[in-house]
Amino acid sequence: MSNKKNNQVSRRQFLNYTLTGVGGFMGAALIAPMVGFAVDPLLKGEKSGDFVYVLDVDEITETPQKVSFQVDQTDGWYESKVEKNAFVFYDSNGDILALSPVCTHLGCTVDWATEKEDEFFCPCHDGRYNAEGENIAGTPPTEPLHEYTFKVEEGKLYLSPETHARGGA
Amino acid sequence: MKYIEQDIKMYIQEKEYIDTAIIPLVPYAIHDDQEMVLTSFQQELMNLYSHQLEQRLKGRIFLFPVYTYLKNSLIDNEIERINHVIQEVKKQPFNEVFLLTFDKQWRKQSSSIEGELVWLPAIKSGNLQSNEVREVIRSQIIDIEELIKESWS
Repeated sequence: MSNKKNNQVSRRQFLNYTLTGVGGFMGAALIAPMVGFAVDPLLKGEKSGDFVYVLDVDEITETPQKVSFQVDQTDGWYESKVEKNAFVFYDSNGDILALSPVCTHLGCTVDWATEKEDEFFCPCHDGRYNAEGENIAGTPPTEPLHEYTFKVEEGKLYLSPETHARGGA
Repeated sequence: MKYIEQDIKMYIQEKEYIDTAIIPLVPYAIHDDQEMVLTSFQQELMNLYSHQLEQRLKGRIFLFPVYTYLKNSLIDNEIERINHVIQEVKKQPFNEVFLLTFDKQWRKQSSSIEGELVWLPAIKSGNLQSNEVREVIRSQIIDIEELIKESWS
């Protein structure tokens, strides 16, 4: 009898193991979706990869054109459609530039050629940027207008909703 | 700037640049079903206007929380309360205080209000997503923007 007991699992142990095992699975099945829901906004992350079509490449000129496009913005739980604007043009090197109209001073919306013919102008505190979107010294902005990441596919220009500061300006 | 923590922190550092206050005056109704429909739509509309405006002129205007009151309450009684708000706002200091509203009742009292009353004709109920309505709203917002910019020059 004693030998047998050493090799065999007793009825009590067997029940213990199976119940813990099954219970564990049931618990996990209950909790996993809850955890999933709780961290849902984190899992989704930023939808930065969503490029949006704005215009055809052959429509781009050397004069900045204002284009607007809609993106889905997620603030935690809250999803909404937001309209974004960009100034699209060829810079002096002939490269495409898609600039954000958000003033780098305090976030007003700048306009092209309202005050001076070939400058961006911010109506809030008279901030000025040259034709390449670089801030003009002596005006409030401290850095050039930010830039959208873009890609060109089959003659169409797509912008990413994210903007980034421009290096080396 | 909006009345949210992130913007407030920025405002406190950059007070010298942000000198224009915007207070939306929004009535609501409980006494009458028809008035409820009307005021709720105007409330949505005001939300849209004020946020668009804030977005365009973020660096110089401060959008305060909405001033609400009952549509059927006597507007004369509101004058004292709104003037008190305006006095407090000006202490911050803000040079200009604009009050945005669709409610006609304020117009008769505009001379006794200590801020700049901007009365807007409200579009009748409609789909705020439709292109025509958006176009109307856009042009009205540009008008208000011009009005505010004029006060700066």
